[in-house]
Amino acid sequence: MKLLVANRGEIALRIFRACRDLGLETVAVFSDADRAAPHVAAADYAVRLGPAPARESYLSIPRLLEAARQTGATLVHPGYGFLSENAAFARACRDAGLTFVGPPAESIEAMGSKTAARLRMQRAGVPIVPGLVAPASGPADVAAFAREAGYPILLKAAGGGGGKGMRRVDSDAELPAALERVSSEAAAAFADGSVYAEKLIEKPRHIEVQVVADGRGAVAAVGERECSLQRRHQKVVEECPSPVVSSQLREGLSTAAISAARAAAYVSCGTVEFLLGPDGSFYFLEMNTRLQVEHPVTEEVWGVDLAAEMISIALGEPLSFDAERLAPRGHAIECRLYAEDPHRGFAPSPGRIEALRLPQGPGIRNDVGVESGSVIPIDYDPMLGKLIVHAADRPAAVSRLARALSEYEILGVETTLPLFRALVTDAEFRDAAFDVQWLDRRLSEGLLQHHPPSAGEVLLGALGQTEPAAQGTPEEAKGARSIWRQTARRESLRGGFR
Amino acid sequence: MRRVFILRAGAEPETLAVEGRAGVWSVARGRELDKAEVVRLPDGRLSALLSTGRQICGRVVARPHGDVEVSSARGNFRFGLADPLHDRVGHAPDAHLGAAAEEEVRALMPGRVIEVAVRAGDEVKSGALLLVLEAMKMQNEIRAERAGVVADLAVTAGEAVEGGARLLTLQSVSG
Repeated sequence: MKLLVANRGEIALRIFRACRDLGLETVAVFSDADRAAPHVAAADYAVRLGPAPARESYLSIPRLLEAARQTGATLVHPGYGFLSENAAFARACRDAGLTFVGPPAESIEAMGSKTAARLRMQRAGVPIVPGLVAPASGPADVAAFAREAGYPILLKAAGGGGGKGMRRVDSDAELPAALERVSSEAAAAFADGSVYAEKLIEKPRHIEVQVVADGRGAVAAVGERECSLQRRHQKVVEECPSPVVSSQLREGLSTAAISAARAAAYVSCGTVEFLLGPDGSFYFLEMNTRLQVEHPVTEEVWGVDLAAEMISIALGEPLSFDAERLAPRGHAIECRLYAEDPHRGFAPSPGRIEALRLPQGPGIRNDVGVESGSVIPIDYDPMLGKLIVHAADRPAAVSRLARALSEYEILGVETTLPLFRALVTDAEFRDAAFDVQWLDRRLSEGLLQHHPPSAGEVLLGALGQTEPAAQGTPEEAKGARSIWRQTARRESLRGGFR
Repeated sequence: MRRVFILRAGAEPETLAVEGRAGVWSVARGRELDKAEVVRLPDGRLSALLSTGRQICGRVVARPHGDVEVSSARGNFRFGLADPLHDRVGHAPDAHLGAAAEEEVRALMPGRVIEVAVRAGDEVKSGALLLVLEAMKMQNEIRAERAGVVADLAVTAGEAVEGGARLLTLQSVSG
């Protein structure tokens, strides 16, 4: 049996690994920018989709279906991003006789429109944030709502996700321009310009619950993730469990998440996102009908292989675990490594990776989609991969993260590593005293400092620049006198290596 | 063998002298002198063993304009480390003054101009929004890094631009 991953980068590699674990063959698809990408080299079969732009490759449903037909793949996994929450793709797979490794198209649709999802949640008894129930028809519409609920409000693209197409508005004066910006961004990114508005909960944390539902009616909640560390609404660091969620609160969140999944007739792995107020009240935010970027922290702490679970559920299997007997073990933290320059406002930093050394050792997991020599194309999301650490408790996990960062070397493109290096020494981060606005505030306060090189680093630089002696090891400099070469010569004369 | 570098890593440039051979070097930085034994590791990094017994390891890559970039356990550090002649060329006082009177705002990467928020002749404050550039699926707000007058607006909304393309020029208000 073959599984095609309609994606690229680290998530394609992650799903291929699950396939290998399950004994399935793997099919990669690639654009012209990705012929030499690691996900292609890792696959049993590979099919070219088309030119680099995603519209002509990773977003082309006809080409993906043709790739599955050519290779005889019967399973299709969408990964995250691209077509992962596209109901038309899920339906097209089903119509072509393929098994879509994800929720039914109807569940994607039910949760895809945020306004419709809110109504559905309200009916299912899941708490929601006060907001417009229908997309805004214009500034007057939103202004009327804001007068009732009070500023600040949040404008959100109805088809959006992952923090794209969101904007805070503090007054009537800012409203028209903000509405236009969100609407145009939404139209460009999601081909849907409709926008809705909701009351902004001040100082909330972003807590999400992992749900896993099989096709036989079982729905399980596999703990929560703490995703409050965000930069402009984009998750940067995720943890499991949340440092502020008690087992009692976890029970409440889990019950709400299971109700949400049931209300959408959900099957497969999915995530129900909540805003958690400082008073412990929580509100449904949205449901992500796919495998999340941050799924590894849950896997590490709860011992459930979510990627494999998705595949076996798609094949009609029941849940592989007894939800009643699951228990969290320790604490995991994930850092998203982006090719972005933190010292230039996180501008994308495409280019060639000149050197890459990944941290190793106990409690370290690297889900990375690039290697030394990889060229980061400008055509796609600039995420390179994720560093995940796992330890007995949160303080130990933070220490382990600091250790892993000291082993991490990446040269050639700017990355978000300096941000994580700054975070692990930050007192408020170490105390887990943050909310969703915390990181943006700390960044504006100067969390990222330009550190001068140490005396040792200056010395290395000078020695590296001093040709030619530092260019070779002493062994190489001695050349033919090397003991290895002498031995090799002696052995070859004797015919010893034949 | 002896080499002299101008180090630009702090407020003031410093002189650094490296002298030695075959993996054993003495490095003089101002009045401080240290000896280091150095080898290149199989993966290209350098390991230096100082006289104190301290070991430090990292990769050194030459960068344009007389800079080097050094990766170590603390991260990546880029600083000026050129021989005195190249350092003088790179830091000529004339070039410096020219840059202060006028600043070219360039696209960091290829993309599409989504919005032009200023017109030629506009006086802008530091931090003011100049343009919105879409690249790698993100809308990047390009803001003025200092106060100035917009001159020579080279792009219009909707236009595709190459990486490094000049978008506009900011002239000093007094100039």
